[in-house]
Amino acid sequence: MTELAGHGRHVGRPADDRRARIPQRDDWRLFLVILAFLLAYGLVGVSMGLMALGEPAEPRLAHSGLLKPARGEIVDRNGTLLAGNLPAWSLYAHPREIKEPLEVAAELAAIFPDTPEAAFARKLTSGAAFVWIRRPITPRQKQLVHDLGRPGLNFGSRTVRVYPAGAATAHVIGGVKPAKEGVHFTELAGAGGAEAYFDRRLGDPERVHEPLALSIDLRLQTVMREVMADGIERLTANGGAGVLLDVRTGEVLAMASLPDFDPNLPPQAFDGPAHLNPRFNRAALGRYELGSTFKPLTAAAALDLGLVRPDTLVETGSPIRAGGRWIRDLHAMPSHLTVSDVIRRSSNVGAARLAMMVGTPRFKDYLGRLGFLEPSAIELSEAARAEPLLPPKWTDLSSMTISYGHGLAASPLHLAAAYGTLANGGRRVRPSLLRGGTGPGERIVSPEAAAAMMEMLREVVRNGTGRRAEVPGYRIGGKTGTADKYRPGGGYYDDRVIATFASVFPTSDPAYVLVVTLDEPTNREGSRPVREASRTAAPLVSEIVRRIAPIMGLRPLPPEDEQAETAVASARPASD
Amino acid sequence: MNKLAFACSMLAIVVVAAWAYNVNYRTATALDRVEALRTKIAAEREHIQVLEVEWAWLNNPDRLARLVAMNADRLGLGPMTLRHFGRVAAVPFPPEPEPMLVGMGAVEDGELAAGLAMADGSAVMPPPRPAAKARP
Repeated sequence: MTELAGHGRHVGRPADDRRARIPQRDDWRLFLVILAFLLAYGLVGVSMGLMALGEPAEPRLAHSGLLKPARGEIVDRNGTLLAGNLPAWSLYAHPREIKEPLEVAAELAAIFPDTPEAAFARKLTSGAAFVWIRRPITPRQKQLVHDLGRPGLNFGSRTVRVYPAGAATAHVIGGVKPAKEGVHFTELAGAGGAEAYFDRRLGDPERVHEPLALSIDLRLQTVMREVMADGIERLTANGGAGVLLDVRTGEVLAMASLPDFDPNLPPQAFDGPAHLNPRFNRAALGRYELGSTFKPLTAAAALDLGLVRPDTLVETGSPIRAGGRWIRDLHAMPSHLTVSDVIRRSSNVGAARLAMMVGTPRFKDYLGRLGFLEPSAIELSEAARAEPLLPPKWTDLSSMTISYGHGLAASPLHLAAAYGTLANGGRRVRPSLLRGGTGPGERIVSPEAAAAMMEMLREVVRNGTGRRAEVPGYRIGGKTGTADKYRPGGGYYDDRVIATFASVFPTSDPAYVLVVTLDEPTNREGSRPVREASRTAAPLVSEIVRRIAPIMGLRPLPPEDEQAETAVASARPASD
Repeated sequence: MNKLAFACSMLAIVVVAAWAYNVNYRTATALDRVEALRTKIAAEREHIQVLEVEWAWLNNPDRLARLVAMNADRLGLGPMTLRHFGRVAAVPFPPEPEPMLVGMGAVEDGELAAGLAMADGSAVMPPPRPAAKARP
C-alpha cells in the first residue's frame, strides 16, 4: 500500500514540509526584488528631500544660450543715457530659394533707395546659399519687405547701438564696430573712446544690466561744445579742445574736441590731413606746444624749492643767449620783475631764469612728476599712444624754452591735470572718466607754493593778459598761452598760433580747472587781425564759466575785498 | 503575514513611485514656467531699453534748446545769469492777513457752532453740520 502511495501524491509530513518550504525558498527572492525597488525609490525620495532642504538655485536651462548678448549702457554722472541699445533687424536672403531675382531686386531697390538695383540683382543671382542684403534695417523697412511676400528673404534680429546725445560726447564715447556677426546676433566691439577702453566690461554678461557711469556731465559738455563751436566759427579756427576737471577728484566733467562727428552715423571717409580729421580727439591726443601756460608751472617749481618768493625780483631786462639762440620777450620788459609779475606780464626771459634757478635735472624730474613725460592715464583707448613729444636731448637750453612752453608738446589734458595739481594744494591730479574719479595722489608741491600760484593766476585775470576771462563773482585765475605753430619743414609760422587759456576757479578755494585750446584762431573784430589767446581763448573761458556756473549750482562770491571766510563756505555747489 | 507584508510593500512601491513621478512632472512644469517668465522678462527689459533710449533722445539738450527757441514767446525763458542768485534769508515773509470776518482770530467750538458772522451781524455761512449718515 505504501509503495502505491509512493507513486502518487506525496502525503504526510515530508510533503507538508516541502509545500511549506517552497514558498519560503521563493519568498526571499520576491522579498529581495521588493526591497530593491523600495531602496531605489527610497533613494530618489531621500535625494529629493535633501534637495528641498538645501539652497535654492537658478535652474540651468538647456536653451538659455539663445538670449541675445546685450551690451551695457553708458550713462553720464547724473544717469542720463549716453549710449544705449535698440533692437533692430537685418535682412538676408537665400538666393537659391528666390524665383524671380530681378523683380525682387527691383522691389528691394524701391524700399532701399540709396543702394543701386544692380547691387541687389548681383547678390540675388549669385547662386550662393546665403547673402546679406542689408543690415540693419528699420522696423518700417522690415514691414515693407515683409509685405512683399517673397520667399527667400528672411530677417535676423540684432542690436543697434545708439547715442542719444549725438555729437556732444562723440570723442569721449567713441563708437562700436561689429566684431562677430551671426544671423541672429551681432557682437559689437568698441572702436575708440570709452567704448573701446571698457569693451570687456560692457560686454560682460554679469554686468550688462549695470550702466557704466562716466564722470562727464552732459549739460556742461553740451555748453562747452556749443560755446567752442561758436567761437571756432567766429574766429575761423581749424578746431579746438576744451577740458573741465574737478580738482578734488580728478573727474573730467567735460571734454570737447572740435571738429567732431556724429557717432550714430557710420564712419565717413576723411581724406584731409590727419590733424583735421573729425575723429581726432584733440583734447586727449593732440600734442601742442602750449606756450606761456607753462610759466606758472615753472614758477611753482621755483617757489616749492624755496628758491624764490612771489615778490622776489628776477632779471628780465636783457635777452639770454644760450646754445646759439636768443631768448627774448615780445614786448619790452623792465629790468627786473617780481615772480608774480613775470607771470602776470608773461615774460619769457623771467621764466627761463626761473628754470635755470631750478636747474635742468630737478626741472625735468618735476615735469615728470606732474605727468608730462608719460601718456595720460585717462580711460580712453587711444590715450595710451599720445606720449608727449620731448626734446631728443634735454639740455639747459631745452629747459629754458620748455619753461615758457616751447620744446615740449603735450595735450590739453596734460595741462589741465598739471593745473589741477597746483589747484589741489599740490597733490597730483590724475584725470579720470569714471564717476567718482581717483582722488588726489602724491604730493608734488607744497601747499604754500600752490596757494601762492593761485594768487598769481588770479592777478593775471584781474590785471594781466587774462582780463577778458573774468566773470564777476567766480574769482577765475589763469594763464594765457599763445604759441606759434611749428612748421613741418622747420621753424615756426608767424601767422598761425595755438591759443590756450588754462584757468582755475574759484581761486580762493579751487574747485575746477578749465582749459580751452584753439588751433589757428584769428580775431578780426578790430582793425587788425589778432591771434593772442587773451583775445581768442580767454573770452571763450569767460562765456563757458558764465553759463556752466548756474548749472553746477555755484553761487557767485562777494567781491574779494569783503570777508573771505564766509565766501569760502558759500562757494560750495548747492548739490552735487 | 507574508502576504500582508508583500501587499504592503507593493503598495509602498506604488505610492513612492507615484509620488516621485508627481514631483518630476511638477518640476518639469515649473521649469517650463521659469523659461516662459525668463522670455517675458527679457522682452520687458528690451521694452524698457527702448523707452530709455527714446526718453534720452527726447531730452537731448540740443533738442530741448530748439524747442525752447521755437516756443520762446510762450515760455519766455531767458538764460540764467548771476543776478538770478539770491539768499533765502532775503526773501520776505508774507504779511499777516487782515482779519476780515469777526471771530477769525481764534476759532473756538462755540463760535464755530454759532456760525461765522460779518461785523454787522449778518450771517456769512451757516454753522457746519455733520454729513448725513449713510443708509445701510
